[in-house]
Amino acid sequence: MSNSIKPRPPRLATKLFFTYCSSDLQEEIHGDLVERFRDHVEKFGVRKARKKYWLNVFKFFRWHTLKRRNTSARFKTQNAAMVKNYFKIAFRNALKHKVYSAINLSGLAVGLTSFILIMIYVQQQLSYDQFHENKDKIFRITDGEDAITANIVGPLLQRNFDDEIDESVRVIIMGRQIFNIEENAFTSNVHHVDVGFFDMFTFPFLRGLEKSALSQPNSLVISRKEALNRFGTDDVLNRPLKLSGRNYTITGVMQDLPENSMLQFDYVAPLHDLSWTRREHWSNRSYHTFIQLANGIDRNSFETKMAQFLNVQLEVPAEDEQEPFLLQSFSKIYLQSEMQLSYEFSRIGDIKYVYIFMAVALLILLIACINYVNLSTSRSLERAKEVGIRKVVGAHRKQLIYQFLGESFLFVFGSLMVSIWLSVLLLPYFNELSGVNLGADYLLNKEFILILLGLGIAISLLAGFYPALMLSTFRPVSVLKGNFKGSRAGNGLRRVLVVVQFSISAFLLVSTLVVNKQLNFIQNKNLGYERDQVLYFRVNDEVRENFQTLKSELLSNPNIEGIAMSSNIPLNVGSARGIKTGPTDEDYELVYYIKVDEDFVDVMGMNLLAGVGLKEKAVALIESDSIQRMPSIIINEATAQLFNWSPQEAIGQMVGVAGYETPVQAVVEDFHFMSMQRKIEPFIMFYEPDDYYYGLVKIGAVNVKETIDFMEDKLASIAPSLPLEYQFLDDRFENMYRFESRLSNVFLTFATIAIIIACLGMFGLISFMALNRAKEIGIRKVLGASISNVIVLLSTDFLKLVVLSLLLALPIAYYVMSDWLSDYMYRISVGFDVMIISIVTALLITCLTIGYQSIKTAMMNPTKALRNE
Amino acid sequence: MERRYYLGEFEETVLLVVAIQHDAAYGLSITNVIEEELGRSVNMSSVHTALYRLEEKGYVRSDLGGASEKRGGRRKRIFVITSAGKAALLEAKTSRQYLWSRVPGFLFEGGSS
Repeated sequence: MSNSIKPRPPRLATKLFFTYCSSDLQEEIHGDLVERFRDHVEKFGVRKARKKYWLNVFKFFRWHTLKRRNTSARFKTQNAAMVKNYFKIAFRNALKHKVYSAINLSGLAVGLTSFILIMIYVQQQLSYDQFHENKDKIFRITDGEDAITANIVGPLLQRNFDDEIDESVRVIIMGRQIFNIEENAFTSNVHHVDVGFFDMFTFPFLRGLEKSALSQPNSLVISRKEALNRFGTDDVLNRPLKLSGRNYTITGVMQDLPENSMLQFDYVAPLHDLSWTRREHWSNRSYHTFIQLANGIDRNSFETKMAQFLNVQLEVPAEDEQEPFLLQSFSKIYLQSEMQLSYEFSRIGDIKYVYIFMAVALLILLIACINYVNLSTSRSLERAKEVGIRKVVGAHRKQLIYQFLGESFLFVFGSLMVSIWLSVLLLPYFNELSGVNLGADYLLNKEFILILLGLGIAISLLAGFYPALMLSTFRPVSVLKGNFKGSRAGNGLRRVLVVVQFSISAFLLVSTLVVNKQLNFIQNKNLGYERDQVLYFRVNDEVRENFQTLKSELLSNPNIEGIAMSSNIPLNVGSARGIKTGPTDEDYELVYYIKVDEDFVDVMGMNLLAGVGLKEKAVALIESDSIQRMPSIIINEATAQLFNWSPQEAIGQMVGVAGYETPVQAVVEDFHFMSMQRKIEPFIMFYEPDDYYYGLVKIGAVNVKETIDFMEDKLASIAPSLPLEYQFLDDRFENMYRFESRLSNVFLTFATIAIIIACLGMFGLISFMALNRAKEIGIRKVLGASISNVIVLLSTDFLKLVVLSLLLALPIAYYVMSDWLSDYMYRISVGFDVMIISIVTALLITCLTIGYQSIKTAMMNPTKALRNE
Repeated sequence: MERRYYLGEFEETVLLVVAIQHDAAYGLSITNVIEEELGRSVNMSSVHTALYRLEEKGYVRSDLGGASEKRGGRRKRIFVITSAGKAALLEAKTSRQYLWSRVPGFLFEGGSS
C-alpha cells in the first residue's frame, strides 16, 4: 500500500452517515468505521473496503443511533444530576434574595387565589339550572319582550302538538303567602304550577310520589328545609295546613333545593286551586309557560310551527304582522344569554357579569405574571455570572433554558399550592362578599384541580419563557470579564410590562369608582315616593274585614302618620294587563297595575299631577261584573305619554283596560316601581277593596320601637291568625340592589388586589434598580448630588411610566364604563371627579411604593457603595 | 436460584471481551476479537448496540478516549466493566457451572467417536 496517498472512505456514505446518526454518537462510530475501513483496505484492497464501508454505514442505521428528540441514555443519567443541581441553585437563590422571593411568591399566590375564587364563582353561575335531567328539552315560551305569557298558550299547545310536546307547565310565582299551621301563622314562598311540574323539572322527593303529588286539588308539596323549619321533622306527609285561608294537605316533601336553581320556593301548589287562573284567555297573563319537547324534535322548526299556529289562534290575518312567539332555552334563562326579558323571575344573573369577572380574573393573573417576568429579568445581573460559568463548563443553551423554566415551575407551583390552601381558607369570606354560597366542593373536584394544574403549567411557561430565553443568551466571555452591563432589550420590555400592569390597575380603579358612584346614585335617587319609615306586611281576611277599626286604632297613635292597603308593594310590581292603544284587538300594550285603597297615594307620598284622588271619588273594579261601570283608574305619566297626552289632557279620556272603557280619573307623577335598570313603564292604579294583600304603614321618625310595638299589639288583637312579619320598604329596596352592591364590593376587592400586586412588582423592581445603580449614585453623591436630586433621579423613571399608563387606561376605562352605564335608564356620567380621583390615587400609590426605596438609596453613605472595586 | 441480572448470550460475550481488554475496549476492537478469535461473524453495529444496552443496564461505563490518525482524528469510546457488570458475569458463570455439574458424566465420556 502506498503511504503517500491514503485511500479515503466513500464520501457519499460518510455524508449519509452524518445525516442520520445522532450527534452524540457520530464521533465514536465514525472513528470505528474509518478504522475498520483502513483495516479492510490492508486486508482486501480499496474496492472491497469501500463496499464494506457502505454496508457498515447502512448497518448502523439503527433505532438507537438515529437523530431523535431525546438523546441517548448516556445523556440522561448526567441530566438527573444536573436537575438536582438546578433545584439546589434555585433554592439557594430564593433564600439569598428573601425579599425578592417573597414578593414573587406572594404576588403569584395572591393573583392565583383571586383567580381561583373568581373562577369558582363563575363556575357556580354557569352551573345554574344545569342539574335538570331534561334541561336541553325544556323551553320557555315568550314573545321576545316579556317572560310571561297568557295562560291559554300552554294548554293550547299541549292539546294540538301532542307528538312534539311531552309536557307543558305553567308556573305562577306568588311570592310570600300567609300560611297557618294550627295557631301558628307565617309567610312563605309558594309557586302555583301545572300537574306536570315534577315530571319536567328535576326536584327529587324525599317522601311522596313526584307523579301524583299535585294531581288532587288542595295538595301541597313542601321543601325539606321548610318542613324542618315549621314542623321540626321532615315526616310531614298528609299533615294539614292552611294557605291563604284554605285547607291544604301535604302530599310530598322535596329534597333541599339546589343552591344553583333559579326556581326557588318553599311550597308548590296546584295552579288549578287559584280560581282566577281557570279561565283560559289571551288577556290572562302572568304565567311562565314551559314546554318540554319530545325526543328528536328540532327546536327551530317547532318554533316556526308554534308561532304560525298561535297566530292562527289569535286570528291575526296572514298578511298582517305576526305576533312573535319564541322559545327560550330553560338552562339559559338564568344568565340571560339568549334574551333579556321583562317580568323575569326575581332571582336572575347576567352572563355579562360572568364575562366581566372572568376578564378581571385574567387581568389579575396577567399582572402577577408580569411581576414574575419583570423581577426575573431585572435580576439578570445577579444570574449572569452563574450563566457564564455554566456555559464555560459546557452547558448547552437548551439546558439553561430548561433550568430557568424549571425555576419558574418551582415558583408557580409553590404559589399554586399556597393559593389553593388560601382559597379554601378564604372561601367563607368570599361568600359573604359575593353573596353566594359556594362550598369547597367547587374547588376540590377533579376537573378543577386538573384545570389548575394546566393553568400552572401555562403560567410557568408564559412567565418563565422570556427570562429563560434572555438569561441563556449571555455570552460567557463578556459576562466573566466583568464588563457586563445587563441587557438593554430587557429594560425596554420591562417598561412596556410596567405600563401594561399599571394600565390594567388604573382601568380597574376607574371601573370600581364608576360602579360605586352609580350605585350610590340609584340608592339615593328620588323614587317618586317615600320609602323611608314605610313598613309593609301581608294582610288576610281578618284585617280586610276589620280594616276601618284597625285604621282608627292605629291612627290614634300620633307617631303613625298613615295606613293604606294595596294588592302589591310598589317596589317590584309584576302584574300586568293589556291596555288598548287602537281600534283592533291586537293593538294593545302591557301595562303594570296595582290595586290600591284611597289612602295609598298619600301614605306613599306620591304626587298627583292632575285629576282627583280616590279619597274624593272611588269606583271599584270588579272583574266578573260585566255591567257598564266605569271603575276609577289613576295612570302614571308614562301611560299618558303612550297616548301623547299631557297630564291635564289625560283627565277624562276614555281608556280600554281590563275589559272596561273608563275615563282617566287622575295622573300620578312617575315613580320607580321596578328595578332602576328599567325605564319607568306605563302603570295603572285600580280601586278594588276585596283584592288587597299588603298593608302599608307610615310611621314617624321618633320612638320607632314603641310605635312598632303598638302596631303589633293592635294587629294581634284584630287579626290573631296573621303572622307578625313586616319589613321596611327601604330594606326591601336595598335587597333589590344587593346584587349590584355586592358586585361593587367584589369589584372593589379585586381591583385593590390588582393594584397591590402591581405595587409589589414595582417595589421589587425599584429595589433592584437601586441596587444596580448603587455605584452610580455613590459617585453622584461624592460629586455633590443632593439627596433630593437622587430621589428625583430614581423616581422620575417610574412616574413617567405611570403617567403613560394613565394616559392609556383612562380613555379606555371611560369608553367601557360609559357602555356599561348605558344599560341603566337612570345613570350618572363617568365624570371628571372619577378621573381625577383615579389619577391622584395612582400617583400617590406610586410615590409611596417607590418613595421608601428611593429615599433609602439616596441617604446611603457613598463609601459603602464605592468601598470595594 | 433467583435471577438478579439479565444478560443475553451475545451481551455476555461482548461483556467478557470488555473485561478481557481492560481499559482498551471499544466498538471495533471488540468486533475484531469476536470475529478473529472466536471465528464468529458479527456486525460492528450489533456490537455497538450491545454496548449501549450494557451501558444502559449499568454493566459498563464509558469515556471518550484518545484519537488517532488512523481513525481520521476521531476519538474512541472506551468501555470499562463496572462492578455490576462483574457481578452479572459471575452470576452467569456460576449458573452455567451449576448446570454443567448437573449434566450426567457419562454423556460426554465416550469422547467424540
